[in-house]
Amino acid sequence: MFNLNFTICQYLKQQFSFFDFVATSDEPSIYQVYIGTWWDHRQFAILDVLSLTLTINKKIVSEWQETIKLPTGANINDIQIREIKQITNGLQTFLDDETKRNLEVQVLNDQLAQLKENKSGLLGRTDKKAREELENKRDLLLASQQRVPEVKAKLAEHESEMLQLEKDDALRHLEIEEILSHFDDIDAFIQKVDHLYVDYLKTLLQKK
Amino acid sequence: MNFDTYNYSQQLKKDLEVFQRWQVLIEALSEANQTAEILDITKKILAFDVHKSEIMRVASEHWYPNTHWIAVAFSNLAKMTSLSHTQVILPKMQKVAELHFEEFPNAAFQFTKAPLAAGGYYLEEISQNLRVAYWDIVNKRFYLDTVHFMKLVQTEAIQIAGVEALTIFQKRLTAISYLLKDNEYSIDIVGLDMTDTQNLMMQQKDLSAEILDSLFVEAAKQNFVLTLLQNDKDGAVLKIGSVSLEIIQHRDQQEHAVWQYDIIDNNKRVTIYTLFQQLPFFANWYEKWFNEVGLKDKRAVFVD
Repeated sequence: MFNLNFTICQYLKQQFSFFDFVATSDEPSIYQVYIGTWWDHRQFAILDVLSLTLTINKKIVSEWQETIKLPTGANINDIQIREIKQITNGLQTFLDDETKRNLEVQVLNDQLAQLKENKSGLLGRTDKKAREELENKRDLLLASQQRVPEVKAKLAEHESEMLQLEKDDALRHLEIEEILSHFDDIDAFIQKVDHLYVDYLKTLLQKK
Repeated sequence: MNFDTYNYSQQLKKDLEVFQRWQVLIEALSEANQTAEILDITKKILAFDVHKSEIMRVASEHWYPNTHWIAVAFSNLAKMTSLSHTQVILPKMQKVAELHFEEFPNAAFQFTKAPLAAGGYYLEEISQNLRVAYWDIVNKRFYLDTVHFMKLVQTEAIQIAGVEALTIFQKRLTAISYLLKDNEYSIDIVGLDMTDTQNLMMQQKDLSAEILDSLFVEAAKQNFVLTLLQNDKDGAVLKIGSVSLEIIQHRDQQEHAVWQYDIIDNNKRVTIYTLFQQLPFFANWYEKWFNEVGLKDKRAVFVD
């Protein structure tokens, strides 16, 4: 089994130098096939050395085909990323205003304290109205401040979502770049993968 | 009250002796060219109590605080450790000398007093108010402020001077720390020494995958590829020309994942700070995830 595995993997490495094979621990004849050696590279296929089949992940292939139809530099997730970016910008602006809100609350508290001191004054009714206005303003600001932890959590959630989308785009970009540095187009690469069985047997016969 | 002329003359004599001792110390500092000598004299200058003089009082614009003398002492060390010139400049109406290092023509440095019970001084860049190091001459400590230094290398003045200037400056600081180490100092200059750019430990254990995902994405945007480490090493590597930045994971005894930076540069000229300067995306990532991926330094002495 070891020899067969070695020979087939060697053959595949010659044909697809950018493939990375990872043996599965419970099934000695099964290999996970990755493209490239970059961080968190995606599993593109499963190799069964006994049946000499390379079962490819069709979702990944359709993503490549979708990507290459886009204008240069564009990615599948661009629109979604832009939308999330808008939301995160809004949340960040809200968080950036925290100091400003704190200061405003402080000013309002000072004004309220001053009004309290002047309560024995002659303008009793006006004072009451002014105090209510200030209290309303302050309560509104305090309510906003209470939302800070919730907004922070929301921001982290969206940033995480955006990172995943950007990562998927980056991975696709690297995969396509790698394939196109060896093949004319994606279809030619897939065709080569599909003919693996026949090509390998032909090579064996030629050796004999 | 009877005025005793003889007693008065004796007190004057004592006061003059105090000032003479001061003069001897300052002259010795101006001539000292050995580290131990510079450190010993500076320590005495810092401890000198001018109020031992009872009737002669200093009321002159030419009387300088300790932060001035520590700058002079540091300049002596700086001159000993680099061919790149160090100038001690006393700006008009100022009481503390500024240090100008030839490699950074657009930056000026000075010492300020650290607000610590233990004492000590911060060397900082004046216009940006960014610290470089903490120097405690009494308790023999010299520590790099990794946080401020990371920010400093990205400032315009240091960027304009270029990577070669940063190399000279890092070499100078490293050489000074070696001199101090030879004089039984506790030294912490993590990441600065070009001959010691490996095993730079991160603050946090068990990093989430999201952190390296983030570096992968930011690197990819700048056409760099974060790849998986090979040869039984666990982690990732970023290749920048002939230099490699490895981010390596180990397991400690409690089975926690401990992370470190290794910078591999055969020419021994690149440090993590050089990378912060040259790769803004790396510096931004480092700042964003600082609580996890920041270098471990002697944070307790750096008080804002």
